[in-house]
Amino acid sequence: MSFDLKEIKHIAELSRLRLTESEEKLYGEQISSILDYVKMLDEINLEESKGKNKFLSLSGGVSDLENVWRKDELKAKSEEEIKATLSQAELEDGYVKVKRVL
Amino acid sequence: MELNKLTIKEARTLLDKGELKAKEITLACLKVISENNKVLNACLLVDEAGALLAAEKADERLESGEKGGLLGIPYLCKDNIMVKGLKTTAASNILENYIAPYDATIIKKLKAAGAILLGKTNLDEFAHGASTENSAYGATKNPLDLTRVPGGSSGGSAAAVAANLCLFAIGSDTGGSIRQPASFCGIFGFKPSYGRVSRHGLLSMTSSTDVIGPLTKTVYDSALVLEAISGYDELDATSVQAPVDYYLEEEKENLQNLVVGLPKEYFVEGLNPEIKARIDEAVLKLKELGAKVKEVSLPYTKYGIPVYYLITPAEISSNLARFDGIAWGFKAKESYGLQNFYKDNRGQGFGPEAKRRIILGTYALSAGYYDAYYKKAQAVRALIVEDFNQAFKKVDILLTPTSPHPAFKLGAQNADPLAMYLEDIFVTGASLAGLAAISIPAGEVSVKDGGGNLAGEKVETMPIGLQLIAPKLKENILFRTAFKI
Repeated sequence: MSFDLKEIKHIAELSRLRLTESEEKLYGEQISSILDYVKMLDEINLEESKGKNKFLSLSGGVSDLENVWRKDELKAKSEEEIKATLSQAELEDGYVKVKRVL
Repeated sequence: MELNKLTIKEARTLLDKGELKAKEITLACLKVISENNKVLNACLLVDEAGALLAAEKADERLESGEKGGLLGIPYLCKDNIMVKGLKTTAASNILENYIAPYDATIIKKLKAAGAILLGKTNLDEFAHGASTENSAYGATKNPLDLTRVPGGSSGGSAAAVAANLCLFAIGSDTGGSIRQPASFCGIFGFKPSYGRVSRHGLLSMTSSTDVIGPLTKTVYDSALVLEAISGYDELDATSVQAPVDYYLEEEKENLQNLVVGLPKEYFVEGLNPEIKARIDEAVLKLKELGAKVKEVSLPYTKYGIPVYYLITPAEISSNLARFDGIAWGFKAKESYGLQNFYKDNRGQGFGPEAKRRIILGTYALSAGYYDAYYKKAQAVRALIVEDFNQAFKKVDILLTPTSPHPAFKLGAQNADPLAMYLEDIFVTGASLAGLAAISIPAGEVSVKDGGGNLAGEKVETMPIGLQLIAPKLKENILFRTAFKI
């Protein structure tokens, strides 16, 4: 399967990545060959595989783990901790300054 | 005595008897690092002042009568793990000047145990790779043959242990990144079960398989480090609440009644025949010690790589979305507007492999392709997990080669990402299923076109590793077997 130029431009846009023209071409070719390889998964008939073991969950992932949640409580951070965490941000009156949106 | 060459166990005895000071070992390691790191490029950062301070504190504790564990033992840590106040780059330009604001849980544990951090080791950018050539700060060389890669992505840690720059090193393993470099460098590389060791403070790559583990000179040392870094952590949502066993005790156990499985799909055409011979020798040894050996089948093995290289990029595209250049990290100059600022920061900050994986992952998760790629991969992953479940009904442990070949030459594979992905062929299965696994040195095989090693000698053989895979949280069986090989 080929990953054409239009497609890679679209995905790069979704990924917020600025690519050069030569990168678009190179990654497009490389990703096409990877997608050709993973096509191998189409050999597997999931319904058939599932039929052999009715207890098998095909939702995937690491299914025996449970989510761990913490209480949704605000914890105050010291000014020092905030500065360390946002170490390279431009701060003004305790807010992070970003580029203009419009 | 060259102190940097000591194992943890040897150093432990001398430190506890008061015949050696932590500061002496630390100075010996720092000296060897300064002599060899220019050639090897194993360390991205050396914290001499911090290490000496930690050594003095360890010596005070030793003098006051404290003993055991990792007190006074110098180590190196992969640079995708946070150490408060030190640069943590993940070998990426996007984190070039990033200073970690807190300690990873394992670093906290190692600090409390009195281990001495010497510095941070090189890796493939964000741990994306199998050769450490994807580092933004240059490739690491294999100390056993400087014309070869050390493997990856924990290549800096593996090279550092093999070259005795430290007594042990910490790495991370997402799809073989501790085991494969351990195999290439002739050392022990241990991947704990998913959830066994806290990942709080590890820069996320593939959250559903990432684990942290030790690279060491012996099995004993591996068990000792694992005991120190394991355990439940409320700061890691995937941490497992299970008791940590006494892995060192396993050395006394015997192998009577142990059933070892050889998965036939791992002994395929293309496997270097000398590697097959080394594995056969290890199998014979286990038989002589009373273990039974059985062939088993893991029929979905060949789908491990395609599944891994869909799930991994998908999770990477999400995990690396946080690198936008606003709160920290690389900032491009002269971008107009927020969207352009994001794109420029990320386009210029990430290296080629990170960008490829972000694009591939975004694609696999995008509307219209999600079912065909990501969902399908997750379903096949469940089949791979089930393969292992079935096999472990018949056997206690699996034995396989770690890699189909010894360390390859620098530059031999980095033009072809797919060839590099296939490096992980024997190691992704245990990662996708969250199992415990270790790579153990299994002898040497001959290599053509050998270069020179760190000592300047011409190389004719290179080490290879064998892999043991145990069920989830059965690290005790893994160590029981590993101690005997």
